[in-house]
Amino acid sequence: MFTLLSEDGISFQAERDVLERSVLLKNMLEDVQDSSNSIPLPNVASAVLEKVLHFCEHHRGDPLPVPEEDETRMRKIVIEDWDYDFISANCDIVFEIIMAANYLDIKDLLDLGCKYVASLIKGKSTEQIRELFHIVNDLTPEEEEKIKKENQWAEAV
Amino acid sequence: MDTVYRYSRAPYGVPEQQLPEIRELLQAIAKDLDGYNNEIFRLENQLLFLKSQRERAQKHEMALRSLLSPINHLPNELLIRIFSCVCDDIFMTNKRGLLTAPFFLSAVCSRWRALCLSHSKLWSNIRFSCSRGLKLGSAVDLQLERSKRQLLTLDLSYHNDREASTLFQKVVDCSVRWQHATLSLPMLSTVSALHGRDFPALESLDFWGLPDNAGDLEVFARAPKLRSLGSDGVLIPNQVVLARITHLSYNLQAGNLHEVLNMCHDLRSLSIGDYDTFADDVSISHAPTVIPTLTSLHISNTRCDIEIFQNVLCSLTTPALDILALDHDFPDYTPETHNVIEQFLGRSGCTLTKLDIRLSLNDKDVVDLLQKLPSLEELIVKDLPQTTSTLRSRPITKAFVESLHSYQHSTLHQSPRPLLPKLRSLTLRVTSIGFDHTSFVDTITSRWLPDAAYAAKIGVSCIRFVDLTLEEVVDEADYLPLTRLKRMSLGFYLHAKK
Repeated sequence: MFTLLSEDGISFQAERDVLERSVLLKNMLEDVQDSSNSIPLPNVASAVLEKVLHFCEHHRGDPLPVPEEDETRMRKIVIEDWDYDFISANCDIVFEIIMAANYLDIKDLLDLGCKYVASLIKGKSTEQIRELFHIVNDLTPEEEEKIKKENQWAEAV
Repeated sequence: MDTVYRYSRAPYGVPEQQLPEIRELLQAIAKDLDGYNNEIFRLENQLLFLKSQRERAQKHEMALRSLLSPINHLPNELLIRIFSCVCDDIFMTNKRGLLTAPFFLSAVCSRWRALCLSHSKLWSNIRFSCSRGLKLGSAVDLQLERSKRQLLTLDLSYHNDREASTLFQKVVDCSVRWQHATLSLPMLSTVSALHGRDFPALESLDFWGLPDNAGDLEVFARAPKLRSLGSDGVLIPNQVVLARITHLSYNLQAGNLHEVLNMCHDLRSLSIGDYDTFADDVSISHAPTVIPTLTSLHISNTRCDIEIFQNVLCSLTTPALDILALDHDFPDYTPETHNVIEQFLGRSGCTLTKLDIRLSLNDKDVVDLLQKLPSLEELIVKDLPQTTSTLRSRPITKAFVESLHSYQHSTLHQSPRPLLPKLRSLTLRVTSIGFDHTSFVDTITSRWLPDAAYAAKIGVSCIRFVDLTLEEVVDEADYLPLTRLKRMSLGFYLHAKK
């Protein structure tokens, strides 16, 4: 068992094959012979680390995504049932999970987070997207005019 | 008010000497009214001012919230990753038939716009469905321009219309950038527009709605990377093109399936369906065609006769097969179906890891087949729709479920060795009523072996995914043991009537 230390000082224990879902941790573990020292993760809060470890625990033993297949994998929009339940149950911290997955280099979790956010965007108009993510329209009047012309065909149904 | 009332009721009218007093009162009231009007005006101005202040504060709040919005904290490369997921979904179009995602994303804010415009890949999925009166020309021009030199994924549905013809020609002119294309081309003239073109990057092609004998594959002789081909029409085979194909979806009733298969020397995946394009039945009386490279076979026949379906299996030998999916709507039990599958598996000598069946088989047939597939890791069994026929087959019964138990025998499986020792994923779709919940829960629980050492010792893999669909109301208490395992990360999904 290895111990991870979150940025807010909470310890989590996990087995090697669970941690090795993360390329970053896998590389770190190769250098760590003594499992008594905890591994600090200064960029991951305990609430997020707990979820990340839950995901890795569930996918323990699954084949790791192959980097060359990145594009094909990303093109598959379908999210598995367990993964969908997992990410939608944690939708309030989905961006933190994405950032943690990116930092820890956990490709399948990163894909899952990105696909989930993409699924929130799909089918929404520009204004709905702004409302959803609290984004301010900071476009200049000239840019707005240009966009209006470009998107005229899409707005008129 | 009392004075006014008294004067108005006086029997001789208002006394003359009182008139100056009344005039004075009127002047005083007019002064009061002016005061009130001024005060109202002042307050209204203040209200307007407060409303505008509130609006400013709200905008400021929005701007501040926007700064805190988690999506704004994502680095550009992650935002682009999300945008790619949105834009890759080629099935998402607006009612006008063109993919809208990159257009809408690039209109959200200045940062998103800059990102979208600088990532040509986001504009490389082009889908349009041309019908009369649509003016998509400028939008398609923008996509072609902004996708720069990126390879294109196309989904074009074409109708006979000048506008459509112009759009199609624009896309055909970029044939060197085609990577994945799904073309619905009911007009012969549109197919001929493809003649003489180069498709150096084309990897997959699906043709739908082709007129008879319009799918001349010679058109794609100059598509050296073409590996995946699908069609619901009759393709005119071409040796050069078919020799490269690794994934083929073809219409059984096209009639020249085996001619096509014999030209495919590197076929990995074959999907055979009937798309009801042709009225004539096609009976296959053919010596088995050996496809040594095939790893995935899907035969799906919903309309044609069960005998044709059986004939297809009889006509194939696939020694390297890994995934087999068989789907036929014929509801009445016929023992021949089991015999044909058994012969196919025996003849092929393949090592399946995934089996997906929706056929007129009974429980004994299915268990008998599974006994011959010890390497199976994923099993999907679906009941056919319920009918009143007395010949109706029921593959999913209590005995079938009990046969999957990791250490108990059943009436159908007497061997001391467990059935499907490597099973990790089980999906059952049950249409009949009276499913035995207890047996199912017992069976799944017996296969939940998270301790890898123990699982290896008894020679049964730990089940990781279970999906059960029932056409009846379920008492959730019956499934509590599996719900608890779900918390321990068994992927368990129960779909039942409410």
